[in-house]
Amino acid sequence: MDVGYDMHVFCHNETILGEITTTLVRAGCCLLCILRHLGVRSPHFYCRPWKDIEAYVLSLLHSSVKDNENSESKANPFAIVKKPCTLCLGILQEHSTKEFFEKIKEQGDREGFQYSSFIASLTVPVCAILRQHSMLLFLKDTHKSVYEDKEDTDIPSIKDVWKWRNGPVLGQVLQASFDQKSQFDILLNFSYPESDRECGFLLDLKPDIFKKRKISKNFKKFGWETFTRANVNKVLSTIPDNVFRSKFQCPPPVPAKICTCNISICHDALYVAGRYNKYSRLLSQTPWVVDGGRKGETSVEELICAPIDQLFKPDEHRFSSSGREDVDVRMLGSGRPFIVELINPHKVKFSQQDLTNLQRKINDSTEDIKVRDLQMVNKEDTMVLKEGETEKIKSYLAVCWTENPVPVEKLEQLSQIQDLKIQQNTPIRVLHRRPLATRERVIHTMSATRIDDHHFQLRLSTQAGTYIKEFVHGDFGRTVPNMTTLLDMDCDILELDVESIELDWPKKLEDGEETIAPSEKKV
Amino acid sequence: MEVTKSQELYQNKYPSVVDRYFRKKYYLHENRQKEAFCILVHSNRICIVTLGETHPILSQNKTIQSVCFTVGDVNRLDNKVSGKAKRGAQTLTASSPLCEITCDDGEKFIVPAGMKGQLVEVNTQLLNNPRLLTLKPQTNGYIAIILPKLKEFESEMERLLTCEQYLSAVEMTPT
Repeated sequence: MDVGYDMHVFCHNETILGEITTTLVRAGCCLLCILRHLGVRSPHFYCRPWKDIEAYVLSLLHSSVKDNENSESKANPFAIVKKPCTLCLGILQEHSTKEFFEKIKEQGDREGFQYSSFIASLTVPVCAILRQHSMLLFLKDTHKSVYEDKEDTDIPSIKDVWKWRNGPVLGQVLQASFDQKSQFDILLNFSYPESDRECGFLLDLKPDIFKKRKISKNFKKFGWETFTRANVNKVLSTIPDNVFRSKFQCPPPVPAKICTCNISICHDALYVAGRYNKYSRLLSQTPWVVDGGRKGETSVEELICAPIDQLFKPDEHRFSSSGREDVDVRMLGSGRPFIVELINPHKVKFSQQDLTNLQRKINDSTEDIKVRDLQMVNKEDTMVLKEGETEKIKSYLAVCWTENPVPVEKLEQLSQIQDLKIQQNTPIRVLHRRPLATRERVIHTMSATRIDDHHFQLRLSTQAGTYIKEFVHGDFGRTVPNMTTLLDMDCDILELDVESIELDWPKKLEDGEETIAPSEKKV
Repeated sequence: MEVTKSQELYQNKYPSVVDRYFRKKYYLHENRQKEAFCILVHSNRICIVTLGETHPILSQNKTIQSVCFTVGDVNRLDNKVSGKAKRGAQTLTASSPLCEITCDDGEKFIVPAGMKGQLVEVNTQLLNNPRLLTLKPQTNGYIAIILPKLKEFESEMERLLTCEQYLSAVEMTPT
């Protein structure tokens, strides 16, 4: 066969290559691990049919055993390699077969995933790092001229070789393309039961580095991890070769077992954004739970997310919005921007028409809220939402009541006031769950319209984060100035609506249905 | 929203902020039962200490000269809380004094916390404007805000008097 002499290998002397190959075969390396250690780094070559690769390695063997009386490896050179490979522990053997790929496909189908491309992420047992290091040291001893200047990083990694060889084949099985930018990730976590034991000597060598540590915040779920890729790699470069040789067998021992693989499949989060109106004074924004029992039948979040969940089938959703309104406050005007983060969605192929249909489904399900501009957005876009929470101007309409009749002149004077700075102590209403602080907020404009002697309508535009109810009733004098001090008489708030949130996001959709609330339709 | 509103909006009396969000509990001074204190309990567990309706300051229309938050060896104005958990708050028991009120006639009254909890804030408006105590005893004339511990909240509520218990208690108190 054409073995490709233009291909990159560590050495172009066939006899030496053959000798190295013999060494690797005797050490129990599989075909692909042999290629790795010969320095083959052409993805294309790894994709060749199995028989071609086998023929290439055989031809190298023959070139070395010509003058070798020991023909044991010549007769059946791969008998030894049928066992788990010394270096990859089976990752490039059993876990590189059609049967294994079928298993992956089955799991994806069983979990109901929809995808058209994929990437694979491999986690290789930590001890494989030591084994590879050990093998390289052995090669430095046996074939000094070729390996003396080689580092661990010069050997193509198990991970890369797995992907080079298996990416296209797995793609055929999954009927999807292997694409580094894909959002659909196949996680292959390989574990080898002896890994920690094989790494054990490192603990005695560098006890300060290998402390038991939490893997993550969820350490209770995942347990403890002493040896990680990062700390083993770091330490390996500092251990002198002779010390390593005295602690770890060179070449590495033939493994007793093949490693096992845990397959988990997930899709990156997707983001659905839109704006909502709320027309009910009895509907909370998020599920309202008090002492384990819930108040209110449903919430804005549930009304919006239930149909979205039905379509995208995520593991969970996270609803967030640009600010929030109280249960008894309506959200009018062009609505409040929101975003739903869908964690690990199983269904992902949707057009804007599907989203528009979804919006109609949400809007048909209730009179209490209406959604508009429902669309898919990128992760980067989600930042805009939180900026709007603190920086944008919000407009409100309040119905206020005064104990004494309020003179019209006093109401008219309110519109003279511009950019009024107020000092707001954390309202008593939220003091149990927020730090106590005095915050300065700006009321940009105010205008009042008299309803009768005791009632007026107050239109406000304010800095984001202003507590409106407290600005009207004063919160026991903890917000100053307030309507009570401005009018010099007791003043209370009866109703409040949010009229607009000046955040031009998400983009307005041309063909979006015009959503007008029943209560707004009346003239 | 239209200016023309349904009829029920145009009442002339509405439940006040206190009525809407708080329930009233009472605490009577251990020895001097006339000295009553009303604790406004918010649905979120925040408690606000105020003078009770039958406290001599209110029932006898006294004029307040000053309010002093240094009582015993603590200065309540030194109270500082940080974070959601209100760390660093002074801890209070029912008999911990919050402030001393001096009336024009020279009579002095101590206001006790009335309950166990953490001191969130005292009403510093009273320093410059002690008349708030008598003008708006249940709103701007509040004395302090206390946050009882979640675990102790129920038992503290049990210990305080309900409105009915308070009324019957003050009726029996010899004047």
